[in-house]
Amino acid sequence: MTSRAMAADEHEGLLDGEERKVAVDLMRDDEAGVSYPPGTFRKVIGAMFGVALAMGATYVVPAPTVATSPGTEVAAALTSCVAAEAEVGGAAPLQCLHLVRPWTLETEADTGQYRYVPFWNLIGRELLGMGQKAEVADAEVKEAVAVARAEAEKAEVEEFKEVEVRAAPVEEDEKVPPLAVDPEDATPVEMPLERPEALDRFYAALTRTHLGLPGAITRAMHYGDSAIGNDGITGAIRSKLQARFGDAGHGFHLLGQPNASYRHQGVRFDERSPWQHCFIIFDCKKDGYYGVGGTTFESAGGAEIRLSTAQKGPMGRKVARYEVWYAGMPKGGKLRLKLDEQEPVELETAAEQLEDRWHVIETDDGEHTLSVRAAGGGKVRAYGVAMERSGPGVVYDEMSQIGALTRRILNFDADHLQRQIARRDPDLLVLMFGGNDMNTQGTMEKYKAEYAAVIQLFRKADPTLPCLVMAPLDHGERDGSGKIVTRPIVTKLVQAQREVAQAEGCAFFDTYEAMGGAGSMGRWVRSSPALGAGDLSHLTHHGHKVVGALLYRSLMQGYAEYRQRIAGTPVKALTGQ
Amino acid sequence: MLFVSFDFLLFIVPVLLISWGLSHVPVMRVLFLIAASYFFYMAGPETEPLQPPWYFVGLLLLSTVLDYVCSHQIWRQREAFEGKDRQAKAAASRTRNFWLGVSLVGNLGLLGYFKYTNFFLGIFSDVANALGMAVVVPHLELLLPIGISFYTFQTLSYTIDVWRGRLTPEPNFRKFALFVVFFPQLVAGPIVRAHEFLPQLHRPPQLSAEAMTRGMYRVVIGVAKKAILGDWIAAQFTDAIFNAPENYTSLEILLALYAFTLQLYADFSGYTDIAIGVALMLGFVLPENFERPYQARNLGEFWRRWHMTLSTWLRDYVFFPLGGSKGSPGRVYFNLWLTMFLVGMWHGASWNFILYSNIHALAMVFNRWNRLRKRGAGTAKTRAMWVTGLLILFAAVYGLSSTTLQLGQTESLGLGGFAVLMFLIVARLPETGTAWNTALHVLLTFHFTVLSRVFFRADDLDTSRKMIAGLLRFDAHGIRDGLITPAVWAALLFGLGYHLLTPKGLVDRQTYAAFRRLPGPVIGLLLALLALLIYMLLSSGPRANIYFQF
Repeated sequence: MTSRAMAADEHEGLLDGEERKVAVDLMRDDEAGVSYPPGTFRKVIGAMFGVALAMGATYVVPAPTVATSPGTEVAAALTSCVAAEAEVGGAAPLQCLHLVRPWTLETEADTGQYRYVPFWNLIGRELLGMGQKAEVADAEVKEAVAVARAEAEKAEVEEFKEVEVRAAPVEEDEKVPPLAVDPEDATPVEMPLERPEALDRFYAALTRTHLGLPGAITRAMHYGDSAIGNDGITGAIRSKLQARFGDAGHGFHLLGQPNASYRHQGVRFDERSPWQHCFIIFDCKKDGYYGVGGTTFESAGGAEIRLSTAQKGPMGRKVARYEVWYAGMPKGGKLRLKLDEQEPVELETAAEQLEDRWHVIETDDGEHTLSVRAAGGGKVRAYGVAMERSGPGVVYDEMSQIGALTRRILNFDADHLQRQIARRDPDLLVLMFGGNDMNTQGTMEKYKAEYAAVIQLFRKADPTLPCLVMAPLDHGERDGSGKIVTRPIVTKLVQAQREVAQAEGCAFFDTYEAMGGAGSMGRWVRSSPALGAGDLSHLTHHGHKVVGALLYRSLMQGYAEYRQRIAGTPVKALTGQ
Repeated sequence: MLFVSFDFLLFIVPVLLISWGLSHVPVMRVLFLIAASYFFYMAGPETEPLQPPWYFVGLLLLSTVLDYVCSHQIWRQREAFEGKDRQAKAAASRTRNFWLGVSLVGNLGLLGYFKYTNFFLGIFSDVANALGMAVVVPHLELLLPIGISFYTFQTLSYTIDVWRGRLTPEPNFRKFALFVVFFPQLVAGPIVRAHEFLPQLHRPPQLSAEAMTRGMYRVVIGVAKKAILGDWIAAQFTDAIFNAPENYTSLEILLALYAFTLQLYADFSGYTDIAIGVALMLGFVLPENFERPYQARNLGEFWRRWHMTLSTWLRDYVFFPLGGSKGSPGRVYFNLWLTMFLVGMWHGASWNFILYSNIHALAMVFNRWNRLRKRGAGTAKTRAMWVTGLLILFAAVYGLSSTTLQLGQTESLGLGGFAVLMFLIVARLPETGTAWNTALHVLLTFHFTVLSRVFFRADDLDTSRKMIAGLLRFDAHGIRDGLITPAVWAALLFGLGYHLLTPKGLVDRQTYAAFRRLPGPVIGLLLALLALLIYMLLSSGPRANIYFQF
């Protein structure tokens, strides 16, 4: 065997040099005469011995006297064990090595399968028959990924088609026609709504919109925690509803960002000069006036935001009506509103006492920018802006209360919230809380009472307002063996919310089961593209699309059933005329 | 199987002991290492998503047999091909080309089918839809066989070398089979050429106390790099940002890019260190794959230092056959662009990688032009060409930003301006000079790699858009409390400082000198402590190497 270098040179860049040709002859063998000097393996055998000694020690030491809670992560378990055993003194902390045995024969509580099987792909998957369960879970995630891909492709559509407004008035004997089948209705529904009939009033509004009646806007308000914080899930649902029933505008937007995660899709928001804000979760307004969005914004002058229609994507391309939500108050200053390049309008906010106010700006249906500025003369207090069009269509408000425990909603002044909700006049209230409640202590009975109180507060202005309780997302944690498992509190919280929804006459959507149930967040985090976020509590934008699509399909299943039920009844019964 | 796992410990100790024991029986040693390598390939851990089942090993066997047969068929024509009979020569040439074609179609066909089918279907659909044809293409649920990009290139290079007459075919099938499946480098490189590996099977294994110590040293360094700077930083920080960039501030996104730049290097070079170390202990020498790439002064140098076995592979089998640096400037620039484009596209099949590949390929073209151009006072014509060139650059970046990336007008204008500014800075900066000049070159090259990593790491173009939009938002929200723990800060600063600032030769010599003074059992305890640290830090378990997916 010979090796011959024909040309060789060192060059700075990868592709700077000349080709270096090497010729190698493999026809000869020089294998004979293996010899290695004495001591060749001494050090490496010594190292193997060291590793074996350290590992063996973990099996020799007795179990620690202080028990560790199951599911505790290794680092936390080891730290607390060492601290506890140190109090005993002597060599007791060494017993904590027991906790870091590399291999134990522990089994899963629910399946009885070994937690760790070496060489899994051969032994566990094939010989121990663990492959089937893993493949089923894998297939579920692949289905979810397929949904995410399909939704992402649909989002590339440039603009929603305009819904035709019906010109002719509703005839006396006109009947509701059967529902025209949408291709997407054929897609199987993974998780049907529980008690969809609780949403009949919403479905009636949707039917009016669907029939193209002039001005028929169906309005939904979706409150929740950070699960909806960046308008991901809500944006996905809005997009699908508006694509089918018409775009009646972006909906409500706060006057600023209560935190960095508050970002809406389908609207351009520019905070020129920041407002001071007070977010309901901090209980910072003793009067309880937080506005419908849960945050007040104040400035004595100079603060300014601009809200513009979107330039890309199908949502939020047009607006015809801005409604500014603000407060009148003693010593109130001026609020300056400027639409596009028009002359600004100045609102005096001075009032004898704190009161809710609104100012509407009507304009042509198109692309616009509204500037809202604190113009001095005293402090002004404002809440947000609702952007709508004349309809028919759907408006879907994202009302996230990021970081909120469910009970924080009770910080609202009840009468103030009642007026705010009445003004917004929704046809559907959706609640998706629970993510932060998982980190609190307290009984489920107490939690159910708080959740029920929140629903009652929202419905004070309209006790028959249809409501839908959306269970929280699966929340994962890493167990002692490193697997991502569902936090034990998740199923308890889901069940509590299900019971509250039933007691309050609300529909219920089991988001947790729709995701795939136990361990689903772990699978969603590791899918490609990832559907779950790295904190094991939130979703990626792909995950938002999947959950949005899952809820949309369930809502549409309920809608189809409703339309079947009312087919042939007079349209006027729906319109109230 | 993953290197940083208990499985691997259970595997490697008996493999080392038996391999050493068989070193006097070469046939048995080679057969044993083949069996161990196949076991290594098939016996992976439970992962999410699931890895391909064990029988995907059939593709590996197919590739082995295919290239063994093709290379021998090519070699059989040697005498006729080198003879003086024109007719026989022509026939031999056709036969040789046929068998080379079989190898190329077989290897690239497998790679193309598993890795690029969905991508090409997607492109077909995108183009058809852009032309107004409503085309719906299926998305195939294909499992990418682990390591296919590596072993395909490895076997392909062998057959091409035999065809080019630079290598005699390996007469012994078992030795060739071991070359293809040798487990330390099977699934994530380094990509070993036949002329580097096969000769080692024709001579006694290179076993010595020095090789053992150096092997253990590379393993310890590799494990620390892979697990702490690679996996841990990702689990603690980077993944969360890249999974949902819309939730994070501009500064947080920028920090995630720095962190990923470190993570990628630590992950891949750590894996390579372990591969080289394990091979050394088995008596083999594998080529190096990294040489402090983040200390490169320009992009050409960066690619000479980063994933060297891939970039030199494409240099030797694409760039040089195309003519390399010979020929007209236009031809050379085309050769350069194509080679670097393929380097990028080897990593993945998506619009993200098309952008990543082109950004690097065009930057390499610029790099060459900038180094070779005549400097000095320009004429009016030169100045006009500069202005025109800069306008074209601005328009191209602006167009790409506003269309493909769908950024707003202000952001697109900003990106166009930024590209022009960077172009002018690099073009005006002297090639050589003081230490400050070198530092500036290094810093600019490093930041080019950091920013282009957006397209490398993001799951898809939509995520890349969100990352770039987030960066260009320039919001004033800073970094939220608790997002980056002090320990992660320390690891980030240490890792970036170490790889950007320390001289490799000196540091390696000194740390190795200290390491070799340690007695064996102490090294063992050190490894056990490292394992404990990993066990505590990575409760989710070590991850697969990032390059597994390629």
